[in-house]
Amino acid sequence: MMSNVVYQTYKSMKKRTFILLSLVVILSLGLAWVVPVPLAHAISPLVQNHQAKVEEKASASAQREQTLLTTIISTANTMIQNRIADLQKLTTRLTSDKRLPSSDKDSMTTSLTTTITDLKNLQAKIDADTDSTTARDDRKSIVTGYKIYAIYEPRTRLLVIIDNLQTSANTVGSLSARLQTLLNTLQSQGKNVTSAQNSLNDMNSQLSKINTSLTADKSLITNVTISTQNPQSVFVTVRQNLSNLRFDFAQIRLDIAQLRTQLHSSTSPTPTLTPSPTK
Amino acid sequence: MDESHRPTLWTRYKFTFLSLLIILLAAIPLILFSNKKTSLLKSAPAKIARSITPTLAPLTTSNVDQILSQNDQQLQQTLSQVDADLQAAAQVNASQDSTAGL
Repeated sequence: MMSNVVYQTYKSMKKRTFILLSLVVILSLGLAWVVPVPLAHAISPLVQNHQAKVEEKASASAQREQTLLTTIISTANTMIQNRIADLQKLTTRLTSDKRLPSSDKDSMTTSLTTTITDLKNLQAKIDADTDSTTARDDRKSIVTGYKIYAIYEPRTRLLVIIDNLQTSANTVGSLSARLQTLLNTLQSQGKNVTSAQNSLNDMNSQLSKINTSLTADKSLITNVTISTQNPQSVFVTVRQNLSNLRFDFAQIRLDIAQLRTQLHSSTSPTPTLTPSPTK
Repeated sequence: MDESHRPTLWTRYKFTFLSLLIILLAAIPLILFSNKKTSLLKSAPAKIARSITPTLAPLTTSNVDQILSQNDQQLQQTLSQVDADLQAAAQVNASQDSTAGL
């Protein structure tokens, strides 16, 4: 059948054309048999090289991501540890305070404990982060979510000062009332208490000023929240006010010193002149 | 089975009912006693609180000097502590909360 077709084709064309056509067919078949192997051999390293390069790039990228993640986690841990250490110092300061009312002390200590726990939980989350984007966001939240140095610590420290001064002011207020009772008693006994009364009036005047200022300062401080813009200006103002109050308290101490002298002289028996030594 | 000889609920669970009744009767004084104890415990801190409330002795010519001196010392201590606290508050470095570079 095949030979018949070849014969018919041979018959229908010239001998030279048939030979040429046969050569073309043989050559084509030969090429088809021989060429693919070296070609594959030639292309294969190129493909493998390309694959290796792609894998290398992916590996380098993963390595960079891992290094970045480790760096972010490390800095985040340092940031959190620093904050916790400072909050623990503040807790020690609070717990050692003997003047603060227990309710204020308890609420501040609870707040500190909660903040420390929250920071520890955040640290655990960051340690478990597996991609740098999430870790970076979490690291940023150490600052934006807590503002320990910008707000929390100065705010708490100033509140401790205010509470301490309010306790002292209350003590002085109580003392003043008792002093007034004593002066009234002495006056009813015919003693001259004019100068002592003046000192006590001055003490009350200072105390009134102190109480007004402390109430205003406490209001300023308690209104500072994590979203307050420029809290530093509030803190500077309150620090300045509290510093000024020290002078008012110093004036009260002076009044107390004068009262001691005045009450001593008004309750002592009429002094007798001691004769000056004669040479 | 004859209908008339069928056991009633009472005859079937007589001992169970009696046991429950005895337990209930025994529990009543226990509950009453424990409530009384709780109320006693609750009232105890109030009594303690009342007993530790400081009562200020009235000022007299004999104790006024001493009390004024004590108050002055307390004020001095408070003001010294306030100085230290003000310094600590001023030293808090707010720039550590900068988000630059994060």
